[in-house]
Amino acid sequence: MAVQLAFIGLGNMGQAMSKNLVQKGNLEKPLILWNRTLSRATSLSENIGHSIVAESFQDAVSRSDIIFSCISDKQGVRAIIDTVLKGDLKGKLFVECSTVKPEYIDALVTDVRAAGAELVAMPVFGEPTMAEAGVILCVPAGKAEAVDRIKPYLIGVICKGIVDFSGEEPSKADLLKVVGNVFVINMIESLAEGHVLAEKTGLGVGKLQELLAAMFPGPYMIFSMKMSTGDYYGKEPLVSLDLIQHLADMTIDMAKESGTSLKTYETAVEHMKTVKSHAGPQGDITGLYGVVRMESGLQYENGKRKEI
Amino acid sequence: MAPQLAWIGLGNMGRGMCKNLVEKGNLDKPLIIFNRTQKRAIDLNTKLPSGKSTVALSLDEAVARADIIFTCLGDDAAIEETLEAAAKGNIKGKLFVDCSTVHPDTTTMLAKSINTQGAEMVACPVFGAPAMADSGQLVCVLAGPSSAVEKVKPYCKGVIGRANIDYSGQPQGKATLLKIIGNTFILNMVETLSEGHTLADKSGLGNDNLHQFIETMFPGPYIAYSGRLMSGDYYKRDEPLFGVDLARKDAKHALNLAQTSGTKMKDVEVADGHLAAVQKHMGSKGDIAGIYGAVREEAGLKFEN
Repeated sequence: MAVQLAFIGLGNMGQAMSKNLVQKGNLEKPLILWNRTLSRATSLSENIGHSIVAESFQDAVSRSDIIFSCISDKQGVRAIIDTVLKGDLKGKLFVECSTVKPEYIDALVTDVRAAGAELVAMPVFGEPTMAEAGVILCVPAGKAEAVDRIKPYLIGVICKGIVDFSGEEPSKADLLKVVGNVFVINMIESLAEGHVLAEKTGLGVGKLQELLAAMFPGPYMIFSMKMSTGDYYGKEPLVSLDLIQHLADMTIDMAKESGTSLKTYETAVEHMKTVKSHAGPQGDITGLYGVVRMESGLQYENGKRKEI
Repeated sequence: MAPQLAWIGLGNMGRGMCKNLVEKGNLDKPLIIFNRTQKRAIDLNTKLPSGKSTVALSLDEAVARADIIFTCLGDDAAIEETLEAAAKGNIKGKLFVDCSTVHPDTTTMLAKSINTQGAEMVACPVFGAPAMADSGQLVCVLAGPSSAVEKVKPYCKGVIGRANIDYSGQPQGKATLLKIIGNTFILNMVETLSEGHTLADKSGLGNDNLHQFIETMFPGPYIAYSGRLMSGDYYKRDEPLFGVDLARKDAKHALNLAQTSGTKMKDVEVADGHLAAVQKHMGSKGDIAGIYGAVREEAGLKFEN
């Protein structure tokens, strides 16, 4: 029998993932959409077609076999699941893509399994433009049979690659999201310091980028270009700094609890606070570069942004 | 007539670079090789195809017999000492190519002194681990007078390296400036891997699971270093791959450049603190990858995994 999918939580990431599911996922049945602000679901549905808007999340869950969720609220999908636990969830599969604490997932899994359903945790790495292009990285974790059920919707549909945690406890994926973000944040801090040193010593950034392209393919070039083209100030960030700080808080907590010192990460987190105080809601994580500039007596803004 | 080449300095990097020069450099005369500890030169000579290299018994001999002299030494003091000694002889018309990672001021000073003796200098620091030197996959940064750089290029991309970053016509110090700044990315990468793997360990994520993520997100040097950390290669080697003393020298130069140009590199300060701990624990046998051991110790674990 044809599988019914639903997507709950239609922020920037959720919208992009839903669109890719519809356009590339070969869904036999229209994708069921739900969002707290219903108008978002309605306009998305009009935009992508092959989808219907549920009247309530209970409705979305009860009609579906596989329910994806991507919610930025700290509560995540807990409030939703608490409500639906009262209904019949047998055989359903929840795929939780939100960035949440591992303990939170553990608790959810216990409740969901007690109701005869399954949960795969699948946090993602990447931001909305990458999600649109279907090139994010997904980390599915949970029972192998459950992960197998969603594999047709992953590579080539919503993502470019996966870190396959089939057979691992779901919370392992969120653990990776926490530890993994140390790499992303530290890389940006390292780039910020390197860029400013290149500028202050008169080396310039051109050849530095030639070097990065040759030695560190991938994310280093992307962020280096953002810095050199001034694509870190004067506009809405791709990812709100609040979301990044939320994840950073989780990471710092985990480091503290486990007695691990993350000195470089802590430097970046301090700089993040300065990004927030300088740029407010326009604060971008790449603004770490602007902060290192300020510490070196330069302006936060490097003047490279071409005004439209 | 094709130039006579000489190579001075047969450490982890020099040996691999010589091998590729001999194999792919179209040298029509045997490469003259010299090392302060002669055994290294003799061993390399035996390994290289017969007749393709010859051991010079002294520095003076290597310099006197050659047209182009490559140097790849461990630090500023070593290269200063070597080139000062070389300059005592007649070096008019010779070309010196220094691949050592040194402070840009050192490079500039050496170039000046070589020039006053009627010789030329090209700075050619390289990026890549010893394995990349062995496989001819280094990234070469060339700086100096254009005509001199043109003489060196035939030995770089396609021979010892896979790419050139070209500062033709620019002061030699530009190349080592890029090299020092570029090495801060390597140092910070090792620090990040160390912090990440220690957290993976203590949080229950597991190093293998983290490594899977690194392979997917960060292609390139991250993967090799992640492997070195996990396998214990950072403390098990008889000889370091990237010696802690050399890494501290790089960090010192980067921090000096930061200070003199009015900026700060907090990441490098953190990493250097850990390098100091590695020196304390393992002496000169320590490796840059030993930063992992230092971060582990801060988390209450043993240096050795």
